[in-house]
Amino acid sequence: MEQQVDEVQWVAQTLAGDQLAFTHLVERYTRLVYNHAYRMLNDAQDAEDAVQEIFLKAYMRLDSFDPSRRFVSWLLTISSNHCIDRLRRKRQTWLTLDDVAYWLPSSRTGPERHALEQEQQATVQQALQQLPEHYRLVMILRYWHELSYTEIADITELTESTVKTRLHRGRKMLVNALGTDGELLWNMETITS
Amino acid sequence: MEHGNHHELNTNEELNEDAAMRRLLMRYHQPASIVPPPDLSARILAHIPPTPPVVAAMTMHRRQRLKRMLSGAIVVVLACLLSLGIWGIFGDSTGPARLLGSISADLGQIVMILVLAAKPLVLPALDPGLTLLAPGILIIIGIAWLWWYLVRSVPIQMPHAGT
Repeated sequence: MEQQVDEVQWVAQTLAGDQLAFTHLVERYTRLVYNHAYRMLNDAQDAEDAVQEIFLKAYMRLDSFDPSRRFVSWLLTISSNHCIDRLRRKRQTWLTLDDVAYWLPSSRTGPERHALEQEQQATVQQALQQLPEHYRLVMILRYWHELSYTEIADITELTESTVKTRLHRGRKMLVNALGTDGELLWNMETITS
Repeated sequence: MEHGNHHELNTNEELNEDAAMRRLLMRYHQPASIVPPPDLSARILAHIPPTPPVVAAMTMHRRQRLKRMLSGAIVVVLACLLSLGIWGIFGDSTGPARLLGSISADLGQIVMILVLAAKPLVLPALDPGLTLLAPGILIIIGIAWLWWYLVRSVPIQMPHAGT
């Protein structure tokens, strides 16, 4: 609750022209928005670009923020719409040379290589990409951002029952996408519960 | 971060599925938080305009409107030039100038110059060599598509997954 009061205050200060107040919001939510963008777009460079654009959009539309709403929900709404738009645009656009340079295998050691070794996490990330974007979105909001059905419905502008249906189907799709191992584990987990 | 409200799940089946999915994801060490590049916040802030949000939004909208108007104007000018070129090639080059009065008048001369300048825009399309060029263009498109397809099949690198 205190966090929300801070955020409402920062928004008001930013609207009044205090740039430092927006810095607090950026610092608090960069990681969350980056994670959301990365899960949706499955590309680190795309996610970085998306995060910059999302915060710029949020800044421009800051006067539309309703203080009775959680700031994180409002920000995730902008992030979700932006990522879906970006995915749609990406399907229609040609690759740039920068994209090519980024995707070519790199001999550099670094965080990317470190992450490649984390095979299990990568498996889920890849499986997640096989879900249609609207199902992927609700799954990410539920299981990676730990949001309630009401919040997901608010962000996606769907009814709660649609959210539940999408989650139900999304779970099945994710289990299928995880392959035989995933299905076995899922059967084990559903039997034990 | 706040956890989802489990009491919202109105059936046992949903509750079980939700919990089972969380346990399944835990087996895959998910949900894991990814650490963004350390300078990302600074880069975001560098892109934020120095003016207050409302002023920045107004400036942006004005710029977008200007950009749209400029693009529209370019399209109209190009369309006019092409029309003049077509008229000049298939009809009479002096026709458009005559519409505005005498060819020897200032305005008439300007239109005449435009017609003559627009002709080279249309002529290449009528060149029979273009039909020979078409298969070459198709081959280039095919190569570009193959390049795109092969590049896309390279596994995507993942960022650092931290806790």
